[in-house]
Amino acid sequence: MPEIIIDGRRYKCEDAETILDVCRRNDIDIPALCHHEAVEPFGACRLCMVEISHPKWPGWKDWVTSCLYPIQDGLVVGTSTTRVRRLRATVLDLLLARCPNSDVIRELAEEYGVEDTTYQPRDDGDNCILCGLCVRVCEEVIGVSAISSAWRGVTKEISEPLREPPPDCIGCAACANVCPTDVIKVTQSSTHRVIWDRTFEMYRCKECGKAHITKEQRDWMIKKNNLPENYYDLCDICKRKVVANTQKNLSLI
Amino acid sequence: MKMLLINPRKCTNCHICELACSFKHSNEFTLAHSRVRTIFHPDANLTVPEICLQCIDAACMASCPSRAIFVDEELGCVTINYDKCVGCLSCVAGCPFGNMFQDELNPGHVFKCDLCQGDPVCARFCPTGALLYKEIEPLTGKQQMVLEKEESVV
Repeated sequence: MPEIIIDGRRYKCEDAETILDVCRRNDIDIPALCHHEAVEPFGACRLCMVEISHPKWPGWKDWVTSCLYPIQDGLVVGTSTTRVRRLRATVLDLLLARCPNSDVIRELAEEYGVEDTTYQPRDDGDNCILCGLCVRVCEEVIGVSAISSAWRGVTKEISEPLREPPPDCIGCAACANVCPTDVIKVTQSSTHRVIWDRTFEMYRCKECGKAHITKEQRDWMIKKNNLPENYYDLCDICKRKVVANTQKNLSLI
Repeated sequence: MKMLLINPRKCTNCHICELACSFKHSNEFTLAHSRVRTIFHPDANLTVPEICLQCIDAACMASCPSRAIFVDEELGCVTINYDKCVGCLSCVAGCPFGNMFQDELNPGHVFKCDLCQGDPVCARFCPTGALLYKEIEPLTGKQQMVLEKEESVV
């Protein structure tokens, strides 16, 4: 079993782990905005930079994204050295210029001593940091690929196809839930959900009308898991009532 | 292995399990935060406490697209890994018994019974023993045979 040294302490790790996995498991704080356990690491936000060296590399150091760097036996990792903090501060300085109104970025930046960005902040910008987590969750977890990143360089953005309401979207709102800066807006009422400018009708309970999921999500899950057509007809409250009724009948025998 | 046993005939509809559960998990006495819910049948004068049944082949686990739900073998408990959860609510809609809950104030957050990591407060505070957390005797050879026979018939 390989062992690595993080901030002077020895930690045991599994073979195919990354540095961030080991740190998260041992409660070592490394900031990361684009990382989510459900999807493959991507290395977009560059905030999880750490310093690495190895006894076999005398006098040699490197600064890498810990979410992407696979561990190797004997690796020496520094998670909060001066250089690492300076690198993170630079990244946060840039992120703050991109999203001056984001509370998440502002709080993180203050933690690293960046009060105000040294660059020209974007005036008209939203809070999107282009980490692509929404796109990856939609593709890898949900399996729908309703949204993607469009254009390149300074004009890059996360977008629906042709900037129209996405036809493949099932309205599950997973993208909005994982978004680190809460850019994706969901408007929810008891009958409808609006996300990515598309209005979804909720699939409501046949008994009481309570809704958890959209009609599109229900169709997609029935198709994916080979479920009977009436599987999602009841809400949680009505399902509990059915179970309670069965238990009542059993108790009365 | 220890299991949470439900006996509706002993339940007096006092709601102490719901309050204890809510306070344990959210530090508030709010029934909406409780993982156990009681349903009163006035016609039979019977209250049924409803709590996660910790299915071996759980429907919530099967419906989760991010594989965030797993069985904690040591505790015998179906557990949510919140680091993996993406909040799509497939599990809430998928549980056939309605024992997976959506947080009403935070719609992307789901919760279920976690057996309080081995000491369920609902059972600890239940005054009548309608909810009991106790060691289950392993099945005898004969019971096991009957069970296997039934399964083979199905």
